[in-house]
Amino acid sequence: MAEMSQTVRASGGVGDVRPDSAATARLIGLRYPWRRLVFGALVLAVAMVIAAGRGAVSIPLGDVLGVLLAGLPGVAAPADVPETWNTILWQLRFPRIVLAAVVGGALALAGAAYQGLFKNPLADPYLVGVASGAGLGATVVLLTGIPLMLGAFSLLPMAAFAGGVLAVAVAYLVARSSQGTPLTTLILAGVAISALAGAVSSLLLIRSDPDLRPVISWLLGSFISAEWSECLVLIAYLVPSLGLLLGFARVLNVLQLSQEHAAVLGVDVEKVKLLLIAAATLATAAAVSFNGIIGFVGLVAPHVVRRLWGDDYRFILPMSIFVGATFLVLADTVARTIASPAELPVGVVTAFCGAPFFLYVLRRRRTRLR
Amino acid sequence: MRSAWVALLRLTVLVVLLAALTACDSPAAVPVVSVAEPTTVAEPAAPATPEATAVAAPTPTPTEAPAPTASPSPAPTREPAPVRTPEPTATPTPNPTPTPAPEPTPTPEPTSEPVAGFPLTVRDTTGRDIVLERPPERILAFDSAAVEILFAIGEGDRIVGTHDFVSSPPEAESIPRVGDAFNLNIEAVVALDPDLVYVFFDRFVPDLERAGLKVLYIETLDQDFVKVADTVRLWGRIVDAPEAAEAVAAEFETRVDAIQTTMEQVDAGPRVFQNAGNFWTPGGDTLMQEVFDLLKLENIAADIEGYAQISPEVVVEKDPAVIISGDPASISGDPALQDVQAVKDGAVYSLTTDALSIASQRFVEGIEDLASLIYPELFQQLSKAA
Repeated sequence: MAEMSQTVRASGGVGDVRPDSAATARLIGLRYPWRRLVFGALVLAVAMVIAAGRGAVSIPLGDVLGVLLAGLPGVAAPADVPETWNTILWQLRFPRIVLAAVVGGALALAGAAYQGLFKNPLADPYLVGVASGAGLGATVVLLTGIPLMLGAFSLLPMAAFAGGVLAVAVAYLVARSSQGTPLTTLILAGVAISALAGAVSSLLLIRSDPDLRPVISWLLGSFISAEWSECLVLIAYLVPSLGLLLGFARVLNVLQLSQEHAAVLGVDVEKVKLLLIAAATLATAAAVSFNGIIGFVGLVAPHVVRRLWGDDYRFILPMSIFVGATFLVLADTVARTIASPAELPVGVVTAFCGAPFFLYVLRRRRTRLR
Repeated sequence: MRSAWVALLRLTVLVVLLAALTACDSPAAVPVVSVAEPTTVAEPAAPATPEATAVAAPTPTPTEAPAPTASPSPAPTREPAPVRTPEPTATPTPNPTPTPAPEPTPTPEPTSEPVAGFPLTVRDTTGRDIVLERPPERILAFDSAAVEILFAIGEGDRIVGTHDFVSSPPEAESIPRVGDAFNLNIEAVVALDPDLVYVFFDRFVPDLERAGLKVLYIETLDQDFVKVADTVRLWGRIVDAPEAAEAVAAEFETRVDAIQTTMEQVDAGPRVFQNAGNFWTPGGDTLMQEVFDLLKLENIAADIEGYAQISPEVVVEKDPAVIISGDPASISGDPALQDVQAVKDGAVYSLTTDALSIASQRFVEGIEDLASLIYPELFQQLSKAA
């Protein structure tokens, strides 16, 4: 790892202007590792199929595939599969698994973008306050007797989304000055906004009706109420911001030099910051709005990619999507099977896996700095 | 960069501390205040009491009332609770005996005249014996069930304070509130000058006792709901109204017996799923399970412990014939549940009261409510009679 980042740093320092060394060629993309991406996508697909077979009701993989293929036009449904399995797979598990994959991918991509922008491998998509803002939005709706439905629309995801976006917007505006937006100030503002929003949420929690279960399960994140309609809304929301983030891969590579270097190389650093933060915030707020705050995916997935395959953001960004999606699909499978027939919030599972990993990374980092 | 992180860390700690201070206005602040200066808290409270009794005389003087509360201490701002004390007393609530206040006004009995059956010893949940010298006149009933029971046996006017979520009976609405279910403002409690504080959880017991209050802690009933009758009888002894309590308790038992007798006509009832919201459901060791057992309903979540979220696919698989939900539309409209028998048959019911969530004498009403939803032909007369 140390040696690898050394290489990249050395090549990155000069490489973007003089593409002549082998390492630079790799960085610029003469040999882009497409195979690894395909491999990542395949692993995700396998994980999703396996996840579809697991659950409180166990369904053999052959039947899962049969039922799945029967969804294609012109393929007959397998004859011997009970009708309830059909319902369970198509109405409960498939939408849930797709949703977990989409949310995991979005959080991981946003996390990767933040780690690149803030040049810190410990950044995660909630760094600037999205999670606490969204949590506050959700808490307000769930606890203050505002009707949950606004016509046909559920108010909860809207409030969560708005809260998340608003928190980041405030942090950004506080941090911005005529000289630009120093990233450290932005992080500090985000921390302060997070603390404030968290405090207001806690205040509402301790002041409210004893039945806090809905709020707490939202704050811990859960896919229990996944539906196809949610998947569609979410995908529609995420595609533009994910596209934007992916388009920033080269710029993120350049930003790994100092901001001054990046500016010399023709990058409008302030504009990039704003666009990246906006896109990552929209993606994150959308990802948490339906299913609550799921921690550690956005931190761990890009980190794993970086450790395994190096520091090129043109690869880290798309690969993080697959790793994050796979991680969350598997975590959700654990969440709905480990205490069956009861379920755990998936955020608890990701925290149990992610927190030790995070501590390990911290530890590694400390020894390396010495 | 490194120093920036250190600065960030420091600021985080600072902000979190600040946030914690602002967030926990009463839970953190109140115990500190009451421990540090118990006397200062108690003393300004004392003058408030004669004031309260004085206000019980014709003209309520709401403008004067805030004065004593303004003085105690500049601590938490949620103090207004005790200020409201005079109001309910001013309303025509018959206040049987004024408090054993330091002023020599109309309190002849307190120390002298013994009451039959007193001193009464009550064992609390931790096994301690609490001795009551005489029936408490000013009860702080920090529990929904206790408030309902006291009103049911006609002793509701002894309640001087309760918590925010007590909503029944309607007469309880005017009782001053001293906290929500998690927090209790000890200053507000002291200011109400109760001679018995009843709490259903133990967190504040030491603090209340340090403030010189007599505290009875009995955990909320979480199994064997028939024991509600015993709780009613216990309250009857505490407030020296055994006959009234016996009547209420006996009626409770009679109605439970009647349900049991009626249920003898049923061999096995339908499979049931209760959705307490977002697939939270009561498991096999809950009070609800006892209700299901009495009504011979087969809980599809019987192998869950306590309350937990059940996998929706288990609901599909177990195919309940009856679903109870506070929000029937969310069940009927769930695309995944369209093939479930209860949805197909239109057997998704909503309980009409919250009676089954509080272990008071109204609990049996909740059972009858549920029974008449599920067995309308069997329970029609019974629910009409009741």
